[in-house]
Amino acid sequence: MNTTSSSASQTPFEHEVAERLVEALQLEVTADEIEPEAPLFGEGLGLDSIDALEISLLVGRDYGVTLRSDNPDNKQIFSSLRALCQYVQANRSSAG
Amino acid sequence: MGLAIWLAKRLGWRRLQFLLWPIAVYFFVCHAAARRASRVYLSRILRKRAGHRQVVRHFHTFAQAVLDRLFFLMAPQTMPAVRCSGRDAFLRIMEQGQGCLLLGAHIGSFEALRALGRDHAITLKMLMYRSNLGGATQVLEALDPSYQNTIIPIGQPETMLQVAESLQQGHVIGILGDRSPDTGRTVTVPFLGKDIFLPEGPYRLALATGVPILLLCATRGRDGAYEVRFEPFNVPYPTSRKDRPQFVQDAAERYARWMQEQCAKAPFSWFNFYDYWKELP
Repeated sequence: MNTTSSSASQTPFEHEVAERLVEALQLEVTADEIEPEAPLFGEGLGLDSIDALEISLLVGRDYGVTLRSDNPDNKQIFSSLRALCQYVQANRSSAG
Repeated sequence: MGLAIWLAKRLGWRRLQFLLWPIAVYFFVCHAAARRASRVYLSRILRKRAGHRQVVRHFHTFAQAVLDRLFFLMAPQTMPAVRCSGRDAFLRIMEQGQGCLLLGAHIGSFEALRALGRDHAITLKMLMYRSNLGGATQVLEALDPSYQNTIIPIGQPETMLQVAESLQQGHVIGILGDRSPDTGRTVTVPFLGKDIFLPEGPYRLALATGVPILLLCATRGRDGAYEVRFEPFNVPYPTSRKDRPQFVQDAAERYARWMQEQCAKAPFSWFNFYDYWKELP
């Protein structure tokens, strides 16, 4: 597995969120190993819907961003670390 | 199933009872895999090799439960009043308005709970796989389109967000925790003397949302009245994320012990007619 090239492509914010995901979801990869554009669910990182709930709790607590089940953009938001981070950055409260 | 509904409307629901034995015999004759699975289970729970009559009785109990399920949903006022044990634990949680997970199994009829819901204004939503719904549910949806509002289908990333939002409104989420999908995380626990796979989902969901788990089982008594049994889960939630895997294991073992106790009380009311222990050729 190539673990060196992916960290270079993470933005600092993506790396921060990746570290929090690894801690909150007790993932067996390091933050550096999460490809920013790889799928989070199914193939890719192999997360499931309960992980999505944990992610929503995390971004709500740490960034003041509420993810709701009826958001029509959910498919996009949960598609990759990069998409998630872009959504959080676009919607985070100024205090976050 | 569509035929059953048609007959029910023509003959009246009660008269359908007489069809249950022919249906049971039909399943016994024509569904070899289900017959074998029934015999494996019954031989384990009864601790002796189950005979043909017991397998037919098992199918009959299932057919009765399917019919009762239609009653509970379509005409609950015609069902005998349910008997209830352990209800106080449930009502205490409801009064706090925080919602809870009602964890059941494919035993008897979970829908008997809806008879209680009438008295207490409880909103119950079943969390289930769309592909597992089966013929009865398709018919129910055809008869009553609002029925699908009581189901949260598993399978989308945002499914559990919907569950959490529902719990925040004080809703009760029903889950049958005895079947594990082909994909998804499972734990291995003993049940009736041999290991089975159980889904981790209910226990991880409880940790993520922080709501309590209550165990629920409802089986039919000899007089046709259902006995609804609530039981506190009594496995403390860990404070550290590192302890979560151990909690999930402990919780699944607790669940399997509970299911075994329920099977001992009503041996013919456990409805998993497939190779549950993954041991048949």
